[in-house]
Order: sequence, then C-alpha cells, then structure tokens
Amino acid sequence: MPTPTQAFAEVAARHGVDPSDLEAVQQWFLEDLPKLPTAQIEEILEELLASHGTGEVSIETRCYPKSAPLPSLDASPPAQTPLLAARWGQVLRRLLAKLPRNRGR
Amino acid sequence: MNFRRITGVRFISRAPTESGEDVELRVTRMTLPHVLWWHSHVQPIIDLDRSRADNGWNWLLYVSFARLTDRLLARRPAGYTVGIVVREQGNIIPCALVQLVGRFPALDDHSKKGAFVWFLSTAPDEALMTIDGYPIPEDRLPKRLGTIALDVTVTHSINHRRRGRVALYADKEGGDKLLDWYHRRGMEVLSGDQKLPPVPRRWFKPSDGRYCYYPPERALQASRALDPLR
Repeated sequence: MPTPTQAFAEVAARHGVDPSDLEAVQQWFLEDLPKLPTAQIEEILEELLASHGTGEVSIETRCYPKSAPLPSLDASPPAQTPLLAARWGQVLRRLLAKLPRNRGR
Repeated sequence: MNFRRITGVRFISRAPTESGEDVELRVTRMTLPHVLWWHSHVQPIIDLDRSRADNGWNWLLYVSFARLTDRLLARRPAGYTVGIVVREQGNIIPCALVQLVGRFPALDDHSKKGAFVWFLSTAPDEALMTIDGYPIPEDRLPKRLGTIALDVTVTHSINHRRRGRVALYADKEGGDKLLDWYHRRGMEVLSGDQKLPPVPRRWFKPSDGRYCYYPPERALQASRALDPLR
C-alpha cells in the first residue's frame, strides 16, 4: 500500500490514453477497464499491486470533481455478513424468508 | 474455541464521540457515489496536509477494482465505505474508505491466504465539520475511525474464511508514527531481512521493515476488542 497515481496513468497510457490527462485516466479506469476480458483485468490488477511507478510519467495528481451530492442511505445497503454472524432477530428473519411458503411474497 | 471463525463477525455499527453518545455507522460496499463525494469534499482537505500518507491519493482510480468483484478476479478485490448514518435526510456520510485484495499469500505463513490492504483512508475532522447542509459538531465526530477501518479488513478476512489474516504496507510517507500506530493496533511488523511470499511484490517492493500483518490470534484479539461497537 499504496500504488502511486503515476502507475495507474502508465497502465492507461498503454491503452491509448494521454497519461498527463488525469480525468481521461480516471475515465478509462471507470468505464473502459471493466469491459476488458477478465484475464487482462487480472493482469493489470497484478501489475498495479506490485507497482510503485517508474516515474517516467509525470502527472498532476490533484483533479477533483466540482461537487457531488452526499450518497443516499438506500443506495448504500449494509455490507453482507454471514448468516450466523447477524443478530438473532435478523437470523430468524433471513431463515424465514428462505422458507418455500414465504418465497415470492 | 473461537466461534467467530465459524459464525463470522458483524461489521462495526457505531462509534464513540466526545459527547458520550455513540454515532450510528454503516459499513457498505464502496460505490462510485461514495468516491465522488469523497473526492470532491474530503480529498482536497487531505491534500492540504503534506504529512498525511494518503496525500494525493485518487479513489476514482481505485474504485474500478472494487466494482469488479463479480468478475471473479483471482485476487478478489473489494472496497468498503464506512459512513455516518443520517436517517432524517436519508444520507450516508463517508468517513473512511478501504480497498483491499481478499486473496493474497499470508505474510506469517506463505501457504495460507489472507487479505492485503491496498488503500485505507479516514476523513480528517475538518472535512466532517464543513459539510454543506450537514456540518457535524466537534463533540459528535466519530472517534477511532482508523481502528474501525482496520477492523473492516479483519472482519472481511474472518468472514471469507481467512482466519483474520491481514497484511499491509505502511507507506513511508507516514514515517515511524504510522508504523507505531499499526503496531499499537496489535499488528506484527515483518523485519527487513524476512522475505515476502513469492508474489511480484517480493522483487518490486521487498521487505524493508514496513510490512505489517495480523496473524490469526492477533486478528481475533483485535476483533474482540471492538465487539462493543458492533
């Protein structure tokens, strides 16, 4: 921890992105990377995990969105935990929901 | 008998505050709206402090891997947001972000797997006290955010059958202060002459006395210590 921003820019540069344009680099990681084949994404992840940047690409790392709203609670559900780790009330509710007669309600 | 290895563990659900009243927290999967808000409001404040290890980080780059978990990448990347719950407005205020890889050779036993923390950051007080429309009073700021964020990684590891094993690299920018902080959380420090597991990091970033890790027993101790906040 951590991989410098330059290392991310170097990866994006190999895919035709201008590495000095951080917004373009961000865009590539958010939108284009997920469309690549899994094996290629895996390779990029491995490279970034090991990488500390060659320093060949010089970029301005500070680039902020102008404003963004606070995330909503509904779109941020609690991270899942194993069934038995939940409180007993929740365990029972989750078990009851799995019963065939309760499905589809 | 360590039941939590079998049952799993709940994530933290509250944090203490100066006022004496706990604040409700929610640990959720990291999504783009969390990161966008963080990068427009929190990161600019972090970037003013050159002594912080997370100065200059760019979560808009890291979140892509958190969104790819359903692609079954072998390293199992995962991202979490720790947020303050604001029920009356229906919002969550991200106050810590964690990006990890869930399947990485463990530092204490190379034949086992654990979680490896890639990025971990907590919001400075100033960022939480200056939110448009919802400034948090000083005595209502959540305390122990760093410890809570680290617990998210241990909880992930326990819940994914990694027995709590977690490793990370304490960024040099954080100096001895950061290394001491992880040590005080119960993490062991890999000495400079010990080898990393056979992953590319062993050659690109060999051990220099800044890799920290939780072996299973230490992880469970740290996890138990935060049970009152679950």
